[in-house]
Amino acid sequence: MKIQTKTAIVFIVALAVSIFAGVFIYIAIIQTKENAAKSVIASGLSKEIFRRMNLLDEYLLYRTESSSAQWALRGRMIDGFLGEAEKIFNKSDEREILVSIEESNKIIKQTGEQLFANFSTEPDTAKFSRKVEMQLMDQLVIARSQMIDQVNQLEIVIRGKFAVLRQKLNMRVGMIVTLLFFIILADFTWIQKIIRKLAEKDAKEKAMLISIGDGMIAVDKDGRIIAMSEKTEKMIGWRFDEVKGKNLRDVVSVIDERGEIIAKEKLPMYLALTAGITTTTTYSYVRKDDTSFPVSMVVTPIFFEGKIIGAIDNFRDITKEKEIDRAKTEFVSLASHQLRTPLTAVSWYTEMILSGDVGQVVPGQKKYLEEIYYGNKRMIKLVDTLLDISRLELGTFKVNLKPTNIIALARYVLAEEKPKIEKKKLVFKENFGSDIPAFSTDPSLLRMVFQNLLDNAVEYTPEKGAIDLKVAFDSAKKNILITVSDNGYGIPQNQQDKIFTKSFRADNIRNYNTSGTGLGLYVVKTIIDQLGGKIWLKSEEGKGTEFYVSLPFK
Amino acid sequence: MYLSHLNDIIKYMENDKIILIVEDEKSLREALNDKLTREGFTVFEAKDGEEGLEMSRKVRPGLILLDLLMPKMSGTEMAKKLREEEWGKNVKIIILTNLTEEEKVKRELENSVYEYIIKNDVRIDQVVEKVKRILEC
Repeated sequence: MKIQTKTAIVFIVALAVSIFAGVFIYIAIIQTKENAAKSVIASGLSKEIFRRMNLLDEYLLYRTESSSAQWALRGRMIDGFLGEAEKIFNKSDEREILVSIEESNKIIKQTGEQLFANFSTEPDTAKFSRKVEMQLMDQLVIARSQMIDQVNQLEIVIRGKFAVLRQKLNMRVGMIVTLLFFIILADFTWIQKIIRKLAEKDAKEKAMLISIGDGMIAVDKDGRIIAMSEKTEKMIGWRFDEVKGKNLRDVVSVIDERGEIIAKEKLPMYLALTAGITTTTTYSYVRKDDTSFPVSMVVTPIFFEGKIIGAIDNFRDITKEKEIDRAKTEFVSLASHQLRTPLTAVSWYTEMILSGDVGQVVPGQKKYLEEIYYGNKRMIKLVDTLLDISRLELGTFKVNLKPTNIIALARYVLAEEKPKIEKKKLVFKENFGSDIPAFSTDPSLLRMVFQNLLDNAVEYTPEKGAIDLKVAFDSAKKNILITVSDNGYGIPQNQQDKIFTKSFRADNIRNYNTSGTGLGLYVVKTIIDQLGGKIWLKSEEGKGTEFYVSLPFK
Repeated sequence: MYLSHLNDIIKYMENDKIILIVEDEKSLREALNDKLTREGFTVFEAKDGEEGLEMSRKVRPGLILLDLLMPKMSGTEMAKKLREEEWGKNVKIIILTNLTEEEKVKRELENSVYEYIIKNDVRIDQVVEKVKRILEC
């Protein structure tokens, strides 16, 4: 059951019991009040009756004047009580008794009046005979005892009822108290359980976060650190309690391969918190002691009800991977190097046989030897590319900046490409800016850029297609823009973002050329990154491709 | 014995027809030797820098085809030593190399005149052409 449902049930039950108890108490108070009033009247009545009867005895003994007045007073008191009783006992069971009491009272009143009106204080001057007086007295005594009995009965009935009511009340109070006790007990245990569960959940989540085997830093919407795994502490050298609540940016600097600090706007964490973007990338983190280590990271925004409430940075130390990668690259470099000599030997010897240096070659042999020769050429080219890549990746290809005439360089590469362009009957157009001054760049690296882009344009454009090479200088932006365009096969839209990845080849061109390595554009991209430039493309399948390279003008 | 005998022959030869190939890789060395011999040159071989230096003193070649990465003595070292000698100052050198070493060579042999061939970039007849062109001028 959901916690919300549970708490709602607890609340409703408690509310119902409270209302029930309130109503019960109200009724009890009313009933008690009524019974108390009844009992007061009944006992008052009986007292007054006794007092009145005492007056009678007093009269018989002393025959004083005041006795008559007193008798009248008591009579009025009793009438008063009876009037009150009339109101209270109006509809109750005691009504009957009250009526008989009233009747007795009437008789007593009449007889008493007769007695006191007609008998003087002096027995000798009495208008009635002693006998009549005695008769009246007898009547009074009988009525009196009758009335006393009736009042007593009333008292007994009321007291009895009161007792029953009290018993009932006691029972009900007991029941309610017990019920409330159980409800409170149940609620309490339930609440305890909920609290314990919440605490457990919280502890579990914390334990999970803290025990994650990778680096994990969680920040709130303002980029302040709210949690990190224990592994993170070891990796970055900061303890959680040292950096809790601090902005992540102030604690861990992010640097790129060249050791330059990444600008705030480019930080994956900034992108996650401001734009809700998830970034997967590799950078280096700076530790507390200012050393750094390479990381592979995924930074994900945390959404709650459509709002970004924070972000999580999951990262992994990739020092080992980098070392392995380097070892692999070194191996590729070494292997390629070793391959060059035998490849050259094959090339030269085949060439000498083909040119008839060691005797006439018959046409069948010539054809096969040419296959060997061109196969070998392809291998040489591949090995060269592999070497270039390994050197780029190892950084042994130091960028060697010198003033370079980019037009001359472009023409040099074009001259190399010319036979291929002519063979495919491609229409080539060049558009070189006339005002391009020499600028500082690495000519041998830039040559590779031209070579690869032009090679691709030639390779992936069908015969009689068109290729354009444009070089322009933007003096305002201080950059050189190279554009290589063709109307060839193009690159499928959904593969354009992968086109610069190592060994990637677009699906549509695999059929046209099986000897491609998928390394050319990777080389280009790596070189342009090293030269501090940018490369991007526009392409449509079946219509052609345009590559743009912008280089800083220095 | 072999060398002293050679000396007599060499004395009577025009030394711009003599080529010394210094290359540790036997297959490449022999390919060049065969090709150049067929082209009418007198070719001598050495398989490392040390042997190359010794041989060049003896045969005084008109041109040396010099590999760079070799055991005992590298090509650059041999070239430097050669340039220190009175005779070796003006001997024509073609460096045989791989693309990787281009920059390094330029740095190390900055005051020396030499030509440059990237081995797996050229056909063997292009090597011959270059040899002929250099020896002619």
